[in-house]
Amino acid sequence: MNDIIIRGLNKSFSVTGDISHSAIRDLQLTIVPGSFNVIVGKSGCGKTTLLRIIAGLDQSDSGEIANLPQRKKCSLMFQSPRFLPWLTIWENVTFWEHGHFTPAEIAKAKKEAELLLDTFGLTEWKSSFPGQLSGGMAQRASLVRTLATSPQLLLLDEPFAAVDYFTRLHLQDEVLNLWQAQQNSSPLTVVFVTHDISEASRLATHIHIMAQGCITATLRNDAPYPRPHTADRSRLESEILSALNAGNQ
Amino acid sequence: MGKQLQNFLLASLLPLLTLAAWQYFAGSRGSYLLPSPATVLNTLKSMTLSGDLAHHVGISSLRVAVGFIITSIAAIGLGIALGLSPLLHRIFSRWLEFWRQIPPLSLLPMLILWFGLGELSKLAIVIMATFFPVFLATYDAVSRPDKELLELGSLYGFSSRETLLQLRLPMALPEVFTGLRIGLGYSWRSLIGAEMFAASSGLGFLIIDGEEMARLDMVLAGIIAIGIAGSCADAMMWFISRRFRVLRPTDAMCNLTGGRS
Repeated sequence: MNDIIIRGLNKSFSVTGDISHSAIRDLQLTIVPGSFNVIVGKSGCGKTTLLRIIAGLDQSDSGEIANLPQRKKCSLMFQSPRFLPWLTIWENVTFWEHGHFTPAEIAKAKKEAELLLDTFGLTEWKSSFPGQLSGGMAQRASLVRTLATSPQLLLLDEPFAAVDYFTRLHLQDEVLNLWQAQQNSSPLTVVFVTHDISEASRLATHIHIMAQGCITATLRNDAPYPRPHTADRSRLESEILSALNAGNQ
Repeated sequence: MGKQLQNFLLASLLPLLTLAAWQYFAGSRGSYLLPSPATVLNTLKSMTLSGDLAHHVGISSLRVAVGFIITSIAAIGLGIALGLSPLLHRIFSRWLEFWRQIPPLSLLPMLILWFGLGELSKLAIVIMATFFPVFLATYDAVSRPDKELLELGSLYGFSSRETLLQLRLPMALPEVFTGLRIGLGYSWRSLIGAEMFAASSGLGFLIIDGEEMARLDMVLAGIIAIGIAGSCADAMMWFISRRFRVLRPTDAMCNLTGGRS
């Protein structure tokens, strides 16, 4: 698998009449296969738009993305679980079965979904409805839906922004474990969007600083996992912060 | 159990107060202007025993059921078609808006002239009354889907058929059911109106018959029967909506085991 290379990406949205807002400006980004990328930036810097373009939900105005896995091998998890309230948890986490997958892929993904539900302790909630789950459980179930199809590229849009601190740490560990578990078999590439600097320092191998629609810096972090709060991590966080401030000037 | 008893007592409060007030006024004004609850209950009892009440309720219910089912199918179909196709919407919307403004009962003189006092004129009234609430609710819900949920379809590469069947239609169901409940209420009201002018059976006829015979107890018995039959029909709709797991996206965050809202 080759690097995913994004070159000269531009995207603007029309606001009113002739006025348009430029969300992504001449963005360049290289994503190494099997890496854990965290894109950090302030609200409104264009990080969600970038993720939506990679996932194929929005079209860029210009630019290209090379070596992107085929669409059914890319999986996106939204900030909110986006469950269909009339379906059970099981029907929700296997909702992709109506889409572009082959019967064999669906059968395999359903087995995977069973395993993931078990891993996340959600098996007994299979026939419950989304409204009966707590916020943390709903995000976990949403993660099951996202991961069951065995994606090569996992796109996460501030997935844990709405859950409490402890649940967030727990969910981060779960994503990290799954990512690490796949390193030797079929490497999973993660692109994780957040505004939380400690989330970046805790998870990423590659930290991309995003400001005003472009990636202004990329920092590497090869520290082994788990990464407790150490002086090194604090130093990295200050580096991220100063890179963010520099980018926004 | 305590909660159920409490609910029952709370729900009984207003009917009991009404009954007490009714009894008081019937006593003070004389039975000519307002028959007492006991008289009406006796009338209801004797009409039930003779089978008269069942006959009239049955006829009215049948008229509503036939008209309501036919219209609902047409209104939901047209609502979906117009909700999905801006072109069809441009063709139909003004014309339908014109018809929506017309009270169904205003067509009765013409309908009687064309169809006589037979079933067709009453059916036409029910159809006119039911169509718009159901059609508008369906159109509105289908034409304004939840975009965030629709994106799941694009993410997983749904065909347009799957998007319609798995997302747009289930999403529209709560509003369609609200439209159906309103439509059912409208069809009852308009049918009773039509039966008062152009029928020899049914609850509307029962009321007019009572009026002509100066039997206010019969009129009141008819009114009570309408209220009960209408409530039963609505409860049935509500039951069906639960069977279909009709839920709004916003219901996702509330507990489903909670009561009817």
